[in-house]
Amino acid sequence: MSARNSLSYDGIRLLLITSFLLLLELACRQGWVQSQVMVPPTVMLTTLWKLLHSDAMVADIKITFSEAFQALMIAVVLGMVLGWLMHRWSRLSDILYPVLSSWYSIPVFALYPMLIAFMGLNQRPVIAIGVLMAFAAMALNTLRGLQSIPVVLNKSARIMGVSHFSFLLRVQLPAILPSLMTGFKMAATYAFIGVIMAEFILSPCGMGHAISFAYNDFDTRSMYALMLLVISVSASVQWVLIQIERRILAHRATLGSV
Amino acid sequence: MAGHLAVEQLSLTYSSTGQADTHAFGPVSFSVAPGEFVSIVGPSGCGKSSLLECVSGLMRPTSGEVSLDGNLVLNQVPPDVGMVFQQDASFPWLTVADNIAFGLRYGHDYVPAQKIRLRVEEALVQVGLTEFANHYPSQLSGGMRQRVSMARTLVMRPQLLLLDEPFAALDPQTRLLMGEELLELWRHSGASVLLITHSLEEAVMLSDRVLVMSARPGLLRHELVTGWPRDRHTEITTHADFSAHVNALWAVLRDDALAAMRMQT
Repeated sequence: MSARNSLSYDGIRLLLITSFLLLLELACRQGWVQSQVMVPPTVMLTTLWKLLHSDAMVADIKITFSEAFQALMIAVVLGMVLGWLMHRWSRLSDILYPVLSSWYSIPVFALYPMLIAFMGLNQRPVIAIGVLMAFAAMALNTLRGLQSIPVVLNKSARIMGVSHFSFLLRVQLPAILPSLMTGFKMAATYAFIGVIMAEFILSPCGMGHAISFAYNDFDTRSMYALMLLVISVSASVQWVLIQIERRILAHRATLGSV
Repeated sequence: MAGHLAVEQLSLTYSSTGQADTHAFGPVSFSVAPGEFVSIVGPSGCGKSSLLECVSGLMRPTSGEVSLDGNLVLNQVPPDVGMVFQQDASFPWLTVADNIAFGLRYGHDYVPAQKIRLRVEEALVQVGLTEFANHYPSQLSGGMRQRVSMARTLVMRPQLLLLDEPFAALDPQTRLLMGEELLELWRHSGASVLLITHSLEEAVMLSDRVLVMSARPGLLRHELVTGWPRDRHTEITTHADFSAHVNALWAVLRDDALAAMRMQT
């Protein structure tokens, strides 16, 4: 695809989104949709602007971010270690791979009451849900990355007398960086989803809780404003990660191509 | 001069679960004198590559011994062995210069940074990649990437250079040029070379001695001494003995190659 083409596709995409928002604005303003059901996008924005100036809301946002970040970090470390161990010991992989690859068919949220029973009604079960959602993506991508390293790189490193530690740090790690980035992007999304959903169900604070509170309070404006915030934040994080990925992998071709 | 390789009664049988054991090759015995260029040719699947891996210490043979300058090679690659493979082994995340420096930085022995820089520059000149020092492998052609692998190996100053069909993935012209360069590098380095190749012409053109392996289980069937001078070039292909040598190898190999082909289909 040429640059010009991709530019025009971007334009079309922007046009579609803008016309949808305009149509929504019109529908709400003209009273085609009840104000209890949907509020105009401009109202969402102004409400969000006001909310961002309230201390309580800023505190909620900070809590959600901190929980999602903690969940992501734990999931990334856990996933990388598990993926590496599974690659190192194929028997472990034989046992765990089917569980991990079907991990996302498990409704993790069903475990939430149990987690609260074990950990108490605080931030910990929320983070735990985030970790449970995110770690499998990280582990699977780490494992797949390690499995796709061409054997010849392994042999070359051994011929050069590279130590086990250097091999891990200087060959395996950079070789699987593209897979790790993929895993990280997925894990970031899953951690964020997990945390927000957990807050939704049973949590005294956080953005998810704020949305659910607004919903229960028939505060439609705040509810939509917060939904807009959650979607924008999630999309922005992905955008930033994709930019980082592009920069890191700019000069790389596929591994082991002749 | 070091780089004396001695292979004694080496054989390999591997077993995979649920299948009968495969007798890959052996027992084979041969030696490579210091500074000698020896090639091994043989039909597909005769265990040439496995033989080379056993010689390097990458793979443990079922029986037999390999020794380099009198020291046994035991399931560990000795520091003075270098190896270049058929597949592209350059690290795609490193520049050409960093690829070449890799073994010096993280390999067998500690080499001071200043020395690494000088040796990498020297290696870049040797393989004609000075202008591409800061390029990434993805920006290079297949032949150039193979040169990177060659430079990365030579920079370690190996006494024994093991080449596992290093030019097999290249087009015929590049292949000829790389052969020319290899001869130059071989003369310059003084290392012994053990080359595995499919191409009889390549083997005859480059080698002091050619060993012929039979179809699996691979055994050494024949030995041919080319009698070329050390200072030789690709023009040796026009030498009166050249086609006679190639024909002699083919006469030995023909039946085995046919058998190997039938085994595969």
